[in-house]
Amino acid sequence: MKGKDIQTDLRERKIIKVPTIHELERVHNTPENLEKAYKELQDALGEEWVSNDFNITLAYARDQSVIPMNHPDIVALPGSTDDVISIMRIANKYKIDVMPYGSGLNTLGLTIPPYGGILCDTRRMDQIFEIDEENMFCTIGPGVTFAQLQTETLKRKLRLINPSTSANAMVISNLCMGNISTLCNKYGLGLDHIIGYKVVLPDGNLMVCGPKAYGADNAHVPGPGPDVRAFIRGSLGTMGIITEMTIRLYPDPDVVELVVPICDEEDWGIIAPALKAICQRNIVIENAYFQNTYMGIFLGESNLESSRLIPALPRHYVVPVTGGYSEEEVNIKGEICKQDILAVSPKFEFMPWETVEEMSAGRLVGIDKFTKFFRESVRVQRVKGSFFVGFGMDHLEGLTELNKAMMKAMSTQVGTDENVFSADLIATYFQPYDQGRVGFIEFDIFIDQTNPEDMLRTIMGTVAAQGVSFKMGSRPCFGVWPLLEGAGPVHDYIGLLYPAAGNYADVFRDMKMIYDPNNICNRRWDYETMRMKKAAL
Amino acid sequence: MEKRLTRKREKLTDYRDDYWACGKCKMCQSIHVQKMSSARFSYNCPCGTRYRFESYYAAGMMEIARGLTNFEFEPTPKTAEIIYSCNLCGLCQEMCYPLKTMHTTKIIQLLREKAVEEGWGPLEAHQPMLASTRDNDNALGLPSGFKEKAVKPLKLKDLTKEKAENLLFIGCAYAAGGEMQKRLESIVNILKAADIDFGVLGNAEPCCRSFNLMLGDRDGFEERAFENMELFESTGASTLITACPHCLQVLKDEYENYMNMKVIHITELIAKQLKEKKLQFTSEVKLKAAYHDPCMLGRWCEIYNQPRRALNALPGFELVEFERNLENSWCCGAGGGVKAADPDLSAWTAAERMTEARAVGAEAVVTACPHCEAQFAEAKDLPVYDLYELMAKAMGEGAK
Amino acid sequence: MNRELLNEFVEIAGKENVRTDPGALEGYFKEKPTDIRLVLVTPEDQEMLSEVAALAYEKDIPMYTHRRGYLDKELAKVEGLLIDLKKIDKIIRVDQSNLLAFVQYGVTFERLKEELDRVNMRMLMPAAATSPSIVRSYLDRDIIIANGATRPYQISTFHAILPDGRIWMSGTDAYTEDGMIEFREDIGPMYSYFFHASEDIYGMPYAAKVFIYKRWEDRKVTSYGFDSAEKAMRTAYLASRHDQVFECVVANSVYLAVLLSDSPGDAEKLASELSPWNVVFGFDMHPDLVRIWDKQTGEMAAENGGKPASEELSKRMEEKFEWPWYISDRDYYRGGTKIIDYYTFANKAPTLFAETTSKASAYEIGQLAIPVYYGGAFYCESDIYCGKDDQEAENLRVEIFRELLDKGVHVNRPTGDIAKIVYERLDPENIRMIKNLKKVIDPKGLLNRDQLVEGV
Repeated sequence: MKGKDIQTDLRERKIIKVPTIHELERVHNTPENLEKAYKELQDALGEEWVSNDFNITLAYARDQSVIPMNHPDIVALPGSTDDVISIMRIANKYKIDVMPYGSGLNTLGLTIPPYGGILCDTRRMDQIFEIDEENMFCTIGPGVTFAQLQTETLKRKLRLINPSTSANAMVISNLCMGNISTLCNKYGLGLDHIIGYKVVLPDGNLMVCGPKAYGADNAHVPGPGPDVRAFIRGSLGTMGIITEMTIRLYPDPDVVELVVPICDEEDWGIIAPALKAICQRNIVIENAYFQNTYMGIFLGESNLESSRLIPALPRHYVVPVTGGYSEEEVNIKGEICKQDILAVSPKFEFMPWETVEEMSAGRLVGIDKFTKFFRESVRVQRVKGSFFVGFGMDHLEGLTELNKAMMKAMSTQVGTDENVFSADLIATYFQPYDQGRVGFIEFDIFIDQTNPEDMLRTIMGTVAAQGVSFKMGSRPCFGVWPLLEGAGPVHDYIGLLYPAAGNYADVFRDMKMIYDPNNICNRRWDYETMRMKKAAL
Repeated sequence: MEKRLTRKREKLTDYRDDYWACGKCKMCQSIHVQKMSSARFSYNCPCGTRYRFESYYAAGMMEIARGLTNFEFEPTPKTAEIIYSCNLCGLCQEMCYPLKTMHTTKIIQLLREKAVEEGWGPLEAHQPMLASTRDNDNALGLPSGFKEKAVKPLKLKDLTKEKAENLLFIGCAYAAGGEMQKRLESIVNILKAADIDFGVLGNAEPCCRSFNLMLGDRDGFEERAFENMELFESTGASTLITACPHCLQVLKDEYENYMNMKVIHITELIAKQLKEKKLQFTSEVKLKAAYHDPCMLGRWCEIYNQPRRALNALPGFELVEFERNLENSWCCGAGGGVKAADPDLSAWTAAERMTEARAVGAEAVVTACPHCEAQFAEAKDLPVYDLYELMAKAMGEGAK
Repeated sequence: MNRELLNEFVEIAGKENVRTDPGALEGYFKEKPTDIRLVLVTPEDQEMLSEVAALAYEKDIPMYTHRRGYLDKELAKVEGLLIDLKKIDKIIRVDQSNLLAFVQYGVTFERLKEELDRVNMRMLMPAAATSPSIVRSYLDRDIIIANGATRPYQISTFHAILPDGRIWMSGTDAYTEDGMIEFREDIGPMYSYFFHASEDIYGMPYAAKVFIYKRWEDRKVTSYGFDSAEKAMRTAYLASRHDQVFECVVANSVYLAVLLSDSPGDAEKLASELSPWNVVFGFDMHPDLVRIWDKQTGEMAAENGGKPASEELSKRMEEKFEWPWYISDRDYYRGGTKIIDYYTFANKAPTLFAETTSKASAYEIGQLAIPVYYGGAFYCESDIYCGKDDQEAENLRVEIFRELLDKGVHVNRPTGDIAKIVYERLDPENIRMIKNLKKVIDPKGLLNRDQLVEGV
């Protein structure tokens, strides 16, 4: 048996690509500094929790996006706030970039370190410190997933905002970034659920905000004074690493019911009025619009099962989940929803929940937890590798038009006629916010990342669709600026096009420079040139 | 004569689409969310949970497979260390396959085959097991003739000379003597009590070579596979019964489709006999214990209910379920060659299971795998029982 | 301020909007200042405001905005501008479809209410307002009567003029045309939220898109009397947690009596008729739901020993829910009102209320609690009804506040002496963050210097 000496026994192998060279002339992350930092990190965190081995770094170099791969130079697994402080201090001392990492579960390559450095994987910090059942909040570490926290809160008749992403996403990073959830319309999103947190700032200092910043009770409301919590929402890890967060929880209703409004006509005009009617009434806990593809993905327990289900499902779904204190209350709410929808969109019919249950009836999708865990069957898991998203925001009526235009642009790009995507391939999702005042559209194309042709045409299509979305006035949200800052024309012309946005960008830059003097925390653009060296997106 | 292979050889690159398309969705890193009962026991992957770097989870190992086959790096001792830290418990694939149709565990196994083929695997610590298999046809370091020694006092039919309907494949672990001899006696007594016509091969019984397969030594596994099949078929028995989940997995997955015999696990037989009232338990077994699903019996061979049926039939026995049970069962830590390669990880994994047993209020743990039992016994925590031992006890006088 | 510079301001804003005469300024001070150097500027629109700010910034002139109530007379001596935005007062748009009203700073609750009444809509009213300006009240995170079932922020986006005259638009307004999107989140870290409860140290908010609401088919207000704060709080907590009510108010008899009367005599009489503690629920929804909510909350109240109060009380409260509750409106009772307001948990509030009552036993105390976030916490207010300018009562207020802070209450928007105590205790990095943003936006430190906390 071979294997005594691995290196000498290796057969000759042609290494064609070592994708670990990040910058031509490294000012940050120089080899000698990396070596010193590595040793100090080992001393601070323990040898076990720091690695610069290629076998370890390569697992952080790719995600489900199509962003080109990049290895971090070092992976560090902090176990406490003190560990994170050590990482930041060492990184500052040696000018090593730090990339905060929650679960890495995103579709934009946000945790792929563009120039290497230290990847700070917080999954060891998975403590649920406290769940206050009576006063409805909890305090957790950054390594806690929605699945874990929801499991614990449901035991206590509480629930958290579960976003429409994998249940394995980390709660804290999601609250700081996207947090698109079917509960958003009623309860708000992102910052609305954060009571306070501890954050290790890029300069290595620890900041506490929220009531605990002066030893007060976690009494839910922001303050004292200026809402400092907002510093972290939308910063995409460029402004520090949260090590503890207190999150608001919501009552899990005693009775829940779902009557699903459906419509099988290709009429997109009926959706916004129906959604708006329910949103403004605000008597449902969750709601959203799903195209049949989404519904099939939610209900099917596997890809195959979903593909089988989707074509058989009606085209449009408005999904109001009604909850209440008593059976009678919930029934009344359901009836009011029906009346409200029919008053504005008479084409809708109503599918009883039992029918939905029969359709799913799988081993994996327990219908009782359908709305409480977005997991297995969500699109993230559906695709072979990745999915492309067109997204935007507008008032609800605007979303319908936006969807049509994006679909057309995408179809044209991929060489088909308008609206001829197979139902299996494309899906639209509208998420209303703030009682129907505004909505978010997500427009997904499910692609096979292993098929280059599929990839290419979808990339082209997505660019076209996103362009149309912009042209129509829709804009992204959820903190994309940290990704766009330094990106050539966007950077230069933002102030010219929108003076207020230019002023915002100035503040953004100045604050970044104050708090991250060495530009180490998720470095994407250089202070000297105000430019990205490589596109982060 | 044309050499029969147990199954078509697969290459790592056959699964390129799988490991290339892994989106790091993290499904391979926790148990099924709808089966989750607590955050504490939500993790599923022993090596990943212990070491926490992404590379120790299936998602990271998919990257290693991708990087290696994309010629991005040379394998190093660390590569081998990582891929041999996996217990091959199959829970990652149990999560991933139903939805994304990815064969994560299979890929890790093929990574090991690649390692062996290219000479950078298995690890030094595995060499004694392979040497023992070569020299004495068992991976446990037992001297030759141990099977004869175990079987002789039981006075069973020798199917190299006699005929019986069923061939009991004892497996190396149950023939290892010492405490295991009692388990073997229990198994034999159960079969006798259930009025099953069976015999054994004695010293002629070969090793199933499950270890070779797990370590990626497919050549070593296949070396004797054909002869073994010939031997089994030559007994004229219609069914091959085994009590060892590791043997069962090999015999079922690798042999059954290529020979004229049915392979079953003893609990399948017991469950049937219980249902038909051909087997009855009369003596009380006063115990509140959690049943640990062995990975090979549960996820690999999908036998979950039969052992439970048997346990529920024991008078006085109170079955407690682990939070992570059935498809979501946490591994004992012994499998996949980890016990030899990384004893600390292996012991940690077992201790984690024991903590879980305490958390669900169990006073003891029952399992149906000799390797799991030994592993838990070493943890020196709660008492550990073998399923057959309890059954034999419940049969009371009938067992004699 | 020299004449030349003054003239430049006059040129920008017009003579009528740039005032130096004591008559125009004295009204802003409780005590008549002796030495007035401050110049009052009342811009009429945002362009004027922007130009005024730009000039002041260029010339290093300190600027103070009039935010609420009276100013400290010391401020009058500063050679700077007192900017009052009350004349920027247009209702730009009421978007019934998207439930937003685009209003400028000078628009009062009363004015918008009038407008909304015409289209059968409403906005949410504050329970302890210090300014009639909707923009001010909402930006300051004033407690809203219906906060149990709605979020505290009732603003989608707001627009402000920065100290140097540049424009700041929060949320998507910064990068879309007006009327598009109108979503409250910034494009990156949400620095706009720093403007809330900031005493205008970052910018002068001149307009906002505020949330408005439909009026539904049925409206009902119910009230229950309790013999203890514990039972009343428990009832309010349950009703909020189970999402049964739109408005929810827990109050002692004195508070309600003072709120609902307009003369001390009437208030005293009413207080003697009311139960010691009262819970008032407001419903606004479909009749079927109102019926079931009324039934269920009634059962919750009964389980906690609550007895239905007079219909008259419910009727008067229904009327009261339609209007903002100003703290100054309670001065009629004994001449002055000192308020102690904070947030705490439902199960903690009764004890804290009792401690305040006993500490201030020399005074009559009105006490109010309003749930926020479905009962996750309660806004708690103790009003000390005292004589006008009662320094003893003021000292007592500060002392009680200090003790309450020791017990962990959360003060959402501290001002004056209380701000000093709170910010002294605040995490220094948190303070540094507030200061750093100030440095970035207002490097000269000209806008509302020392108004939030000394040195900022």
